[in-house]
Amino acid sequence: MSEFFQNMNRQEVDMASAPVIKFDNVCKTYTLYKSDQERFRALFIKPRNPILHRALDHVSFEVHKGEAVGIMGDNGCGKSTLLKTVTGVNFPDEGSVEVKGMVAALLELTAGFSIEMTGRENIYLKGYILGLDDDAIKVIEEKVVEFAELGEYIDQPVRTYSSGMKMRLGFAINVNISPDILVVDEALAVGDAAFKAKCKNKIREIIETGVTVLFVSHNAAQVEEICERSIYMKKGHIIFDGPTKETHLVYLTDKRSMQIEKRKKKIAKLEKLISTSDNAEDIKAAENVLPKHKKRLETLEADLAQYTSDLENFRKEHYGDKAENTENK
Amino acid sequence: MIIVFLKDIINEHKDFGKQIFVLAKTELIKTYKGAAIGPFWAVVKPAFTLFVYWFAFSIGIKKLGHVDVLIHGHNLSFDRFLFMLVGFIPWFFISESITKGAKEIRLNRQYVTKINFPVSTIMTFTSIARLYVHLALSLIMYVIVALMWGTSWYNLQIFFYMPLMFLFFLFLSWSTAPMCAFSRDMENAIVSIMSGIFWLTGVIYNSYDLPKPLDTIMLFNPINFFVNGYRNAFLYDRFFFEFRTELVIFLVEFFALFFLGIFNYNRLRKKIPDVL
Repeated sequence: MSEFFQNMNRQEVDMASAPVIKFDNVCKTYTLYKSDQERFRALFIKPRNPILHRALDHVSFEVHKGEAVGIMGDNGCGKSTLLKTVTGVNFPDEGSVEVKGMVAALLELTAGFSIEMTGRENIYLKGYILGLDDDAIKVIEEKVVEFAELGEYIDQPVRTYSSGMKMRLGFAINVNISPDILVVDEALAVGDAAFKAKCKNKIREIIETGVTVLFVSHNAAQVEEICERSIYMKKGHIIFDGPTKETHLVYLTDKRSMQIEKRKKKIAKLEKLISTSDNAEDIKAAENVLPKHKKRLETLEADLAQYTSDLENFRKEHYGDKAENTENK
Repeated sequence: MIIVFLKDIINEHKDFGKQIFVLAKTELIKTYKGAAIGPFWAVVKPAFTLFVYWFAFSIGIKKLGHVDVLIHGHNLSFDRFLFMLVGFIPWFFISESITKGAKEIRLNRQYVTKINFPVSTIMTFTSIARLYVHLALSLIMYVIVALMWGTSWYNLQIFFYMPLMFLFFLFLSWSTAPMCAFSRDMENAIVSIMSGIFWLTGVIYNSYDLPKPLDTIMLFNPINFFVNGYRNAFLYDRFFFEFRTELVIFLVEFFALFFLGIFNYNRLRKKIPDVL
């Protein structure tokens, strides 16, 4: 019962208070080593011209208590690095990161399990790792056992579990520790359809209690359903940070523009080939595929026009006349 | 600077006391589960090694049946089996600590790359698991020593040597484990060196009894300090402070290793998740 009231209190999004997650000009650069020798040398001396990959480039944002924030972006945009930084696995090179409270990450569900120990022992182990004491773990133990639906297997070594069972146990532990911050990656293929539905409901339930949520998904409908606010990332930058609907439209327009650019280049290349090549076969092949590309380009451009007007409409509705430029790029 | 770094390591251990012992237990279970005689392998393996060396040195090479050691101006003569036994017990712990300790971060990478985990405790809980085995072996050794040689108050020095040995090789792994996580070459280098180090250590022979400059050079090998230390406690009836040069050289090495470990661990800690 007391827990219920606790949750009630959490529900208010308190914007005035200090943020729960605060990134201030965070940069993260991965050093890629050309060879194993290079890597060995790097142990003792600084590599001279290393290949650097900047995964986060001056990223700043704040998340307040009770907020649910979606993160959009293509593969390699820095989403995972961002989440790993929030969960404390990665460390930034520059800038500062503040994360307050216990973080439950639905990213690596089976991480930290010891396969020789039983499911029940692993609940304790994982609880300890997350910083809980025996009493706190005892409280959640039964909930976890019930949620994971492992039956008698809960007292068997985890080594005997199927991968689905391991995921279920991992999920059950993470969602039942009553975290302050929940980090969810979309790739949550846990168990069969029924269990998936159960997981989704549980996530929704937790979110409704007012926990702070970071949600990563390619499924825009899901993000919109859960998050009011979203962040669009591209190549380590935050391109846009605003209402989910708007962010999604910005993302789509940006993505279509890029696709159009690419398609145009391809078409230009083909046209050049047709006008300059001597090889009749090549020309014929190019002429065959050219109409297909042009048709695709048309649909892309139509899409872009649609999204742009949608975005304008949204902004007009949302911000009225002062909707000149709300992008914070 | 070093103090700040040390504080980091201590903080990582502070709220993690219980987990360390739980994880040490799992570490043991992991090693010995699934075998019919399970934990007995911890005894069988070293016993066999010891037997083979004893066979080679006191049966194979007949002359080497006894070891003469000069202690307090007197020549003490030991049966080579007893002499080797007391040397081998710390050696087993030391060689495992060095070669396996260096690999621990790589082997436990799930704690480094997947979740927020105090990485320095990985070395601690795996070392504790090895210490459990060492305790069991030491107990067996003590029974044999008591039967063959007798007991004395000097035996209590084990409580000086054993914790010191544990710490020394824990500090060593603060340097080696992050380095091996970074580069496989480091790991291979350590394994290669260790296979030779055995013969540079007085496990089978008496390291004090060597031609002139060599006996002093041997004092710089910290493994000799422990191997001879265990013999101080169980065979030589000598206190650890009686051979002052040996003690001083060791203490200098001990603190050097300690600071080097803190330095290396903190230098590489934040880079390890990126390279594993």
